[in-house]
Amino acid sequence: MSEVTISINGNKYQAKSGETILEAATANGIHIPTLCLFDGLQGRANCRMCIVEVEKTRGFQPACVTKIHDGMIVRTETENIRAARKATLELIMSDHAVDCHHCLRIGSTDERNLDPKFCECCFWCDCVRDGFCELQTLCREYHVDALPYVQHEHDYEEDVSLGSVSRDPNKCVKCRRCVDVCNDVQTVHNLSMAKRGRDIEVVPELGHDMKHSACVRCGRCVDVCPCGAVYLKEHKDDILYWAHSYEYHTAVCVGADVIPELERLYQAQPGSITPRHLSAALRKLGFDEVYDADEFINQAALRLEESIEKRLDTAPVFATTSYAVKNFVEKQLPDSAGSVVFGESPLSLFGQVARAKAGEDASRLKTIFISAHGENAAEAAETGAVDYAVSARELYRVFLRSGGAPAKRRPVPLDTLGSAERSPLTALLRPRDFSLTAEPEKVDLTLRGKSFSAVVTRNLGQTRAALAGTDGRGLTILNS
Amino acid sequence: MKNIETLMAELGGSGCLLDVLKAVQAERGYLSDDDLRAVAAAFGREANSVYETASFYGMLSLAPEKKNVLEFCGSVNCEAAGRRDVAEAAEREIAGSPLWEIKRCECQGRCDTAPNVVLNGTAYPSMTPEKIRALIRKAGV
Amino acid sequence: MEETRISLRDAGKINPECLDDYIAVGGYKGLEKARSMDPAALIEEIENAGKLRGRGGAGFSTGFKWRGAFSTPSDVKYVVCNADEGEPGTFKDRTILESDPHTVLEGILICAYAIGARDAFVYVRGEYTRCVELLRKAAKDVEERGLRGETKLHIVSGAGSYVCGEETTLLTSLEGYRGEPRLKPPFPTVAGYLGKPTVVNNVETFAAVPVIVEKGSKWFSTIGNEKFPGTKIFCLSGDIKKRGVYEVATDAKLRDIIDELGGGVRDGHHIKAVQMGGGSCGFLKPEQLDVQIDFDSMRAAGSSLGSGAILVLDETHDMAELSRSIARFFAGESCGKCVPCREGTFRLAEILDELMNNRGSAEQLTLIRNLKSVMTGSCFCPLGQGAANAIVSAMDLFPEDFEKHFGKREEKRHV
Repeated sequence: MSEVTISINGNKYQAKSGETILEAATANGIHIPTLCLFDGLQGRANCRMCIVEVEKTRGFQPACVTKIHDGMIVRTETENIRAARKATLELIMSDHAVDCHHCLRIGSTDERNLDPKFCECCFWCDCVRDGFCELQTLCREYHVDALPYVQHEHDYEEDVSLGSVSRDPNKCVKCRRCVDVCNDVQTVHNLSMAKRGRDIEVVPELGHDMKHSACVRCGRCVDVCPCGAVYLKEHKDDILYWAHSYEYHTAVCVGADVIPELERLYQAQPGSITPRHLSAALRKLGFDEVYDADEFINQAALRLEESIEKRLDTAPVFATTSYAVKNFVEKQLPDSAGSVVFGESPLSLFGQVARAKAGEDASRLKTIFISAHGENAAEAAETGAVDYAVSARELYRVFLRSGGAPAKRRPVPLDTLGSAERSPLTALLRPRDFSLTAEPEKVDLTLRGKSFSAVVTRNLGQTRAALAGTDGRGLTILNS
Repeated sequence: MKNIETLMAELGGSGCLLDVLKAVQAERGYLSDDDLRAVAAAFGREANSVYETASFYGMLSLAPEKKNVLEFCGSVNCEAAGRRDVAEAAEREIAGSPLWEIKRCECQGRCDTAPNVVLNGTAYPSMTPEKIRALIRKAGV
Repeated sequence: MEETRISLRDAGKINPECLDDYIAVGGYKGLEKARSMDPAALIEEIENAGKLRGRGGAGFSTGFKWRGAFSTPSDVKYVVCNADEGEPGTFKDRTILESDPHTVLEGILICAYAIGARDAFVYVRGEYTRCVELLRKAAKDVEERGLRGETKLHIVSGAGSYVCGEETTLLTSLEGYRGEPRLKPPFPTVAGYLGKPTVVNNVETFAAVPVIVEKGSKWFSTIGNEKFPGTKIFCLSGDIKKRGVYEVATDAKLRDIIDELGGGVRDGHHIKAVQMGGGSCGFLKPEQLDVQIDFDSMRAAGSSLGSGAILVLDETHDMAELSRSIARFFAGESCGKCVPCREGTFRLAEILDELMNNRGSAEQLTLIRNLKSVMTGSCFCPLGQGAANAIVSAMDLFPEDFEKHFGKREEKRHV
């Protein structure tokens, strides 16, 4: 790619021909707001937040998809542009169910009055994305406050039919990220964007609710939604209730991916929260047992070893412990189901062990599995393998409400299953960051004396391709 | 009812998706889930993509429609020609009958004979309150 | 004043269902001549026809489009005729297709020969069922008579969506998807139908092509305005004595079309306003009607030639009420892809609803003006960009019609 020279806000920059204005600006540290854009999904230019002025063109151009050319002159922050972006946000907010900051104490949502120290974490503002919402952040950036229009919501019914992945169409900004991830990346082809004009809405398969649609509960729509329109049902109040209850015993399993997420949320130094810190903080809240999920990932890996090893010599082996992959294969690729080893998930093994340990008292035991993004919420809700699957962010808000600060507790050891041999498959079964763009991970490993190559898929599209492929031998771990 | 293959053959193989969807709707009266799936299979498309497309267009229906659908063009040309009086006369005549639905439709491209109405897919030009009353009575309230 | 009929030359004189009738009046001679020419020379003729500007409303140079598709290297190219005439007040394409479908097919086949397209589509709006019937018969007759050469003709139809008249939206709809516009660039002549070079032209444009090729671009350039030669079809509607379709040379004056061809405003009334070009074009006051009808003169007068629609409004009309009608139209036709259009058109209609229910105010009108400036800059496609134009034009020219509906101030609600 050749280098070209462009001008942004009066300064000259080098950029690669074929890049978009946004890519060139970001590479040079210039901020342009976006809302509908998501790395790995096709640029739609729906939200009109990234608009910029390009000399010798009429109107504004969307920076996310407009390609640069040599000598292009761009302005990203004129008064007109800022006014248009603010007006666009006002239009969105006038059709948005504002559940954040309905603070009774303050009585207004004037952003000048909002002081985080005021917040009691009463959670009356019950949008799960409050504080983590791209729309909210943009509104702050552009001082969106009193709206010039009458709020005119559609009054859609929330779809909570799954008990895990839930939808509130009243908050949808119609960015299409969820539709695109479901169709183009996950190849599940469940969600679509129906009707037109202001009635446009994201709809599960042919207009049914999520429970009766083609949804496989991979939860990636939740991962990509910029606001609270698609979210995971939360259980903050429930888990605290059981933690505090004298009659009930609670066992918690914490995934290794939870701690980096907590450190990010607390804006703490990496390494300042260790599993023992977390164990102490959880016990202080009243949770009785705290386990490290890695032990159960290892257990799941050990159980898979035998069935995998037997098949490795004769054919490519596909294995998974993911509930979403199981749903996906059974619903959409039934012909391949016979060639996949469906292993028990770490979450399910934890539930079994905890209940077995409780013996006769199992009816007064509540099991809680915590993962970074709540990706196994559906498995818990639909199979009852554990009572609650909860995300790191829910845990963070529970700590905020109760004044817990994990890094400050005196570390306390975790409960453990005792020592067990380490399976070489454990590393492969650990949760991966969902990626729309990264290639499947390739790993070489040795299992019971045999060396072979393994591949770990990163999304359902790759899973589908792997199952359709005819690559010789080896092991593929299927993820969603 | 004719099947998809027959309808596509009748269209001479040139029919785009919309032509096929309209033909299927003409057979059944609306587009059911099964129709959408069948059309999707015939075109090598996903069912949710065909659903998404069908839900966009004004002439396609995803649910059974009332026996009589009366549509008024929403453009300024029909408005200026007296659409409102005709619409009010129509509403009074229909008086909430469950057999009738009143909708808006696109500008019919017959502005020289405005105001126009479309009744069950057929355009009627140069409407007046008297003519619409007669039209409705003939169709049956 | 006389009409000058080129696109409508055979209207009323031949049976539209009869190929032999069309041949008898010189039909398919243009195609014959075209096929004897080198494609590059043929395109040059179209370019030299004094920059034959598209007759659909956007006014883009036809020769430029053909040249663009011709020069883009590709094994597959397409010609698409835009017969999705949805602009309010426009019924000329229907008139052409119902009276002389073959002239359109001939123009399409000439274009297909010029750029090397083996497939050509006519996308007709779903509501024009008679036009579809006539075109399908005409295409069949052309096939049977061996006239189509290397190009296959496909007659397809839409299903009720105004926005599909915009060329990129039409292509998306033709491919079998929702009517959503695409980014330009890339232009359809580079990447259009199925990503291949495609020429999209209007019915009226194609209808003129056979005659231009047969009689030559020099002849065409002598007709009408120098910078915008040829003829234009106008559709007169509203409070005019003789509503209908009229084709005139491009140096005509608007007033002459209205008074002489249209017979003037109906008896006992006087003209209050004229809306040219369709739903997103501004209004002209009676004193502005001496303007010439070419693109540049219209724009200078604060209006637009657009599709050729002329809506004549007499003094019995309330411009605020008509503005509401225009706003509702766009709100109903917005595809919903981009925020400022789907929400903005809704809010325009809502504000005007409140106004007509006597709950309007000066602040609400300012809000409309703000929306116009946001939508003109931010919307993805011309529907949203132009939706507020006519409304603000009405507010500028007839403020009293709006002010008379002012009432109680609407309380503002906080977030």
